[in-house]
Amino acid sequence: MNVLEEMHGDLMILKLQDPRLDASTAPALREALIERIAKGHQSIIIDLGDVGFMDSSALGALIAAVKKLGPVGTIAVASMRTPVARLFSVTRMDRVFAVHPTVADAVRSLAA
Amino acid sequence: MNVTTIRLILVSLIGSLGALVLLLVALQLYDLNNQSLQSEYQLASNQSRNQLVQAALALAREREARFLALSLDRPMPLEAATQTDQNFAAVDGRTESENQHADKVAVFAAELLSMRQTADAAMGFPVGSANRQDAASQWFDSSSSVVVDLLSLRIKLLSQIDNSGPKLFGLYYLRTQTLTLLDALMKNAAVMEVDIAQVTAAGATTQPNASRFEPRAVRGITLTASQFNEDLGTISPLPDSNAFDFEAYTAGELRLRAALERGLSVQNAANDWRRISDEAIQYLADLQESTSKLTHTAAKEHDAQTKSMLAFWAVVLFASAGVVAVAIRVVLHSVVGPLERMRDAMLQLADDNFAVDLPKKGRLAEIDAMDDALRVFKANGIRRQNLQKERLRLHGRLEETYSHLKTDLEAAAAIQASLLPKQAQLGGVSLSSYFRPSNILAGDTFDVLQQPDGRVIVVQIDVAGHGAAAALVSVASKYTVAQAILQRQPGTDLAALTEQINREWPGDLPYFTLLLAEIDPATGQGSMVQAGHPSPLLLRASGELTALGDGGLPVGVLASATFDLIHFAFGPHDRLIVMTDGVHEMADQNGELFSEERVQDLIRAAGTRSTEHLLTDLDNTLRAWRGDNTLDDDVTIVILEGKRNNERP
Repeated sequence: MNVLEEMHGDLMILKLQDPRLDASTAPALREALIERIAKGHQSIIIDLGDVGFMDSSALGALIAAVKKLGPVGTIAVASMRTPVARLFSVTRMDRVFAVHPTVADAVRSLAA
Repeated sequence: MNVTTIRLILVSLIGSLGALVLLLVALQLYDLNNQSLQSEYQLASNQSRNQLVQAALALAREREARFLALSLDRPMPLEAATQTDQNFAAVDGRTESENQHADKVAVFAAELLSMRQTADAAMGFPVGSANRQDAASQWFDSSSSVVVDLLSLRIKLLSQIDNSGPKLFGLYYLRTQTLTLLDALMKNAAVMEVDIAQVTAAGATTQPNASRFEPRAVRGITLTASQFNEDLGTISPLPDSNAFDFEAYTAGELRLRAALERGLSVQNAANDWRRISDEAIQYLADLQESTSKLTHTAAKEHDAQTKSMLAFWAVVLFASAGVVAVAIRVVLHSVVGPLERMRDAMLQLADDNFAVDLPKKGRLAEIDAMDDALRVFKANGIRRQNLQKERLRLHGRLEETYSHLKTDLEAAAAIQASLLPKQAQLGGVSLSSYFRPSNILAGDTFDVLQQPDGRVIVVQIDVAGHGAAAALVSVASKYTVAQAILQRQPGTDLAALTEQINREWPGDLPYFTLLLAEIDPATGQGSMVQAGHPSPLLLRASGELTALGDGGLPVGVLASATFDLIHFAFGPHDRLIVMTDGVHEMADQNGELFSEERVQDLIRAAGTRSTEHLLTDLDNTLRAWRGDNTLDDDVTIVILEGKRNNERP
């Protein structure tokens, strides 16, 4: 699991660098997110620009993170590519996560 | 390359060194043995020569007595002849090479007998008669020649021995001179006695027997004595080595000769002379005696010395042989033996035979160090072997456990498969399915339930992940859904039912996607709820294909989620195709996904062919896409097909 971490004020930006997120990477992704939430980060932007494919297992990791964060925090996803966007669409995850076309948009939105 | 052994090298080195030493010592011994034999021979020769000398001296004394008896009628001592005979008889052949001289002495003894008989016969003639004088002269000359012969034999014997060493050589030479001089003096004494008697008897001056006197005594004595004194001075082997007083002897003789010529004071001069002559003879006899003892002692000493050297070197030989034997034994026992035992033990250890007994500790530091190392090797080897055994045991247990688990999983998979509905006819709807778990147990499951009023409900569930945990969750979710359907209140649609299921799904369990569809064959109507599941496809009898729904939240993500109910018409030969995402997310060898588009194209191409054909096409195409029989995710396809109106029972 390759994650590039960047802080923007209180905002944590995580760039997931694996092109494929599936059952084999889902546990590591889940661990990476839970660990940061446990440290107190409440606003996390996940940059999915490098991810070409995501399956239901990886989605489960994101959902687990949202559940861990609870209602006070926010997880936003940005720069989704078509297959991932379709997954989000079919599973209505766009209702669960704040979805933004770019990281900059997400930063603007969350900082507001 | 020739391979040799330490044993061979050490033994051959020590052996050849030892053989060399033994050879040298043996050569020394051989040489000493020869010397010893020689010294023994020398000793024997010494004795033989002494016997010859004694015989010669005895004959010289008899010569004088018998000469005086013949010439002057002096009484002949009885023992004179006896002693000569005894001394002649005493000459024996001690050594093989000396037999010849013993034989010659025997011949001399025989000649002596005839000479005596001739002399005895002449005793019958009157004293002073020509016959008797001639017999005296004959006796004197012939016995003298025997004396000279005896002394010559001695010289011959002397020449046969190795008279090496200046001391012995000097002694032998001195003895030769002494004997020659002694013989001369004894002859002179006899001759002079006759001259004295003739002058005394005649009472007047007589001409002395010049012919016998001159050459035999004074001239010979002069030459011999001067040489003798010179030698005595040079060699001087005796503790009491006074020179022979030649001057006194010659002066006494000259005085006697003068008195005899003049006829005055003959008696006084004769007595004077006799005393001088006796003293000189006595001196030489003593000298002969002492040199004889001296040579004998020297020869004995030499012999003893040689023998002790022989003994010494014999001891050296045995000691060397012993040292060589001990050296070889020590090398074999203390070096080669332990090394060979160690080599054997090493080979055994190399063959993993750890039961081998290691050599016991010895007394050599190097061997001990090797022995210690060998013990470490053995301990390491045993530890390695134990580790290997342990590893194999663990490996065996692992295999056993894996085998158990696999058997368990396969049994569970068989149960899981048996719980899935088979191809079936449910009122006006027929069911076909395609199910491939990716890893024995699947997270996918499905069910078809026929309601009492004839409606048919199809359920398809996909739990994220696969394997035992996902399978258990899929069982739980399927059970939950089935219970909800069974306890469904009249008038509750599938959306409300799904919301209820979602609300009640435990938050700590993983989410799952669900597709619920309900078909009423009687009315030709259907409805469905899509909870995170891919959109099902509706294949009309005409071949027209449409995807139903545009998504929905999975179950277990948001407790407050709402779901859309979607209605659709479902007539005879219409087909509802429900599948999990394992179908269109199946990746080929390059990672490219099969995609919903390809699924739809394939179904569209199959068109109006039978469901059986459709599933066969799907199976073939998916396997060809994948390239092998592996799967990343479970694949489930369920197809419900409406029957023709005339087929209804």
